[in-house]
Amino acid sequence: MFADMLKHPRALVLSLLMHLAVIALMVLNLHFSDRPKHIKSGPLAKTVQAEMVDVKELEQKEQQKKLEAEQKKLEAEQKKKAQAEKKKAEAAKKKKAEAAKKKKAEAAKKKKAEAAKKKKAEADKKKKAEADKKKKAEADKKKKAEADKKKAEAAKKKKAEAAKKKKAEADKKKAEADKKKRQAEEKRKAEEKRVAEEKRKAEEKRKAEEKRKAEEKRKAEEARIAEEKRQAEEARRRAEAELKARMVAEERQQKLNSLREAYILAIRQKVERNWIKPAGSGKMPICEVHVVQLPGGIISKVDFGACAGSTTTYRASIENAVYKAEPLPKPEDPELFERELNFFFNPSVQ
Amino acid sequence: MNDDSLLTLIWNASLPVQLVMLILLGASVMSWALMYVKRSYIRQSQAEAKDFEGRFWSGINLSELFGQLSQSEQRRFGLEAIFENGFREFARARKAELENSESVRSAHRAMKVSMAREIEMLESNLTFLATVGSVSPYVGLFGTVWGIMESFRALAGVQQATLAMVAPGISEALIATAMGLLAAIPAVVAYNKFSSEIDTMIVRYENFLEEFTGILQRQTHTPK
Repeated sequence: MFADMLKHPRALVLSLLMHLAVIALMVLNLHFSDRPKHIKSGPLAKTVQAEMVDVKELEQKEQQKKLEAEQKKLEAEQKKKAQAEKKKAEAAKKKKAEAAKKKKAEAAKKKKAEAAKKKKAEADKKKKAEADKKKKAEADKKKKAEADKKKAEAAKKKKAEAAKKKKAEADKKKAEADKKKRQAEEKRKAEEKRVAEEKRKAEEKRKAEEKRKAEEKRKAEEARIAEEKRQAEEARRRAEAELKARMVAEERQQKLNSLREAYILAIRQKVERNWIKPAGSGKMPICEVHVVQLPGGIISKVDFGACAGSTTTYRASIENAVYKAEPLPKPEDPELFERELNFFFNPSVQ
Repeated sequence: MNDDSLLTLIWNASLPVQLVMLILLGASVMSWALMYVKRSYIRQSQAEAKDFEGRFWSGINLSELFGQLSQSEQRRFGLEAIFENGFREFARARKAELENSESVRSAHRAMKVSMAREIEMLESNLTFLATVGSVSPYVGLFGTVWGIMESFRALAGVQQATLAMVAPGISEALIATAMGLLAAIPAVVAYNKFSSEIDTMIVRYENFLEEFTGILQRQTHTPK
């Protein structure tokens, strides 16, 4: 295509020029937006924003405003009163504070006097406490001596008790040893019994196992036989199906063959119908005609096979008949269509 | 330079969008050039057919007409070519002393071949127009989708998105669609026009072929 295009450079140049012109137009004056002109700056009147208002609402608003003004007045008066009261209160406070200061000073004097008294009393207390300590130390020494005596006596008693205990323990040990011997004997007997029991059980198990195995073997055998039977059955069925299929195919083939014969016969008849006997009366034998056709029955070639002793005019008349018979009849089964056909043209049939 | 200028927008577009635009521009240029070529060829064929039909039916002797044609040096096309090929084949068959019907048939065949060649010449490159007409809107759309994708992706990282951030991107992307349509519309119109004209030309050729075959057949039945 491009090579073809290069053969016509004029067209290419024309097209290019057209596009360039369009682009140039765009560059020159096709801006997307014209900038809005600047409005002359200056004091702009404030825009009035109007709103729909009910007359009732307006009255209400005015009333509200009045109420508010009254309230404000009231508040102002109250404030004034409050300030006056505050001043009074502050004066009273000052007086009180002065009185309090005087009292404090007096209290401080009293406290100092009391503190001096206390110190004297404490000194007396200390002296008494030291005397008490000395007395206590003496009492403790006496107590220790008594405690040592008691300890010595307790040790003697303990020794005697220990000797008694040893004897008793030796007796106990002997009795325990006897008990152990008896118990061991009992254990041994129990063990023997248990072993015998186990042997019996193992025997029983073995017998059960053997039985089970035999059962399984029998079952497997049965299954095998069943499987063999099934396979044989299947093989038989398959063979049957095959036979059937073959028979169907054969039948179909036969049908097709007969259909094919009918197809060729139809073609032959159409050709023979279209045949015009040539003027000269030469030999007119039966001819084998070979036709090559396109799908749809259009003839692309006509040839003659065995056609002994025929004249050219006769052959031309047959060929013309074949062309006249175009389009050739269609087969009943599209599968039967054949590109190349052979049939015998018989002039005497007409 | 104005910020909103079309060229600036195109210049600032991303690479794929620019590529798409370039392809579309090329397709548009090619299709317009092809339109000029095809139009002139079809006009020429129509004029030739009219002229030749006038000569053919003027009652001129066919061999004379053939002699005139074969003398001219120009390359023959259209009806002239069909006639010349058919008549030459017929004359050859007669010289070879073939059957009458056979010679008519061979002339018919030769004319059919010649006609097929003429039709091929007429229809050549029409597919390019059809392709441009059907495909370039999609190509433009691809450019647009790509451009819009880009501009939205740029929007992703921003906290507060405003229309002013996406608008230029989308606008530049839409240029691709506009260009696709600009390339496609003339191509489709031209394709439809040309194909209908070519169809009428084909019918004309076929009619001439059959008529001429009839004349030849008649001639074979008159004694030599």
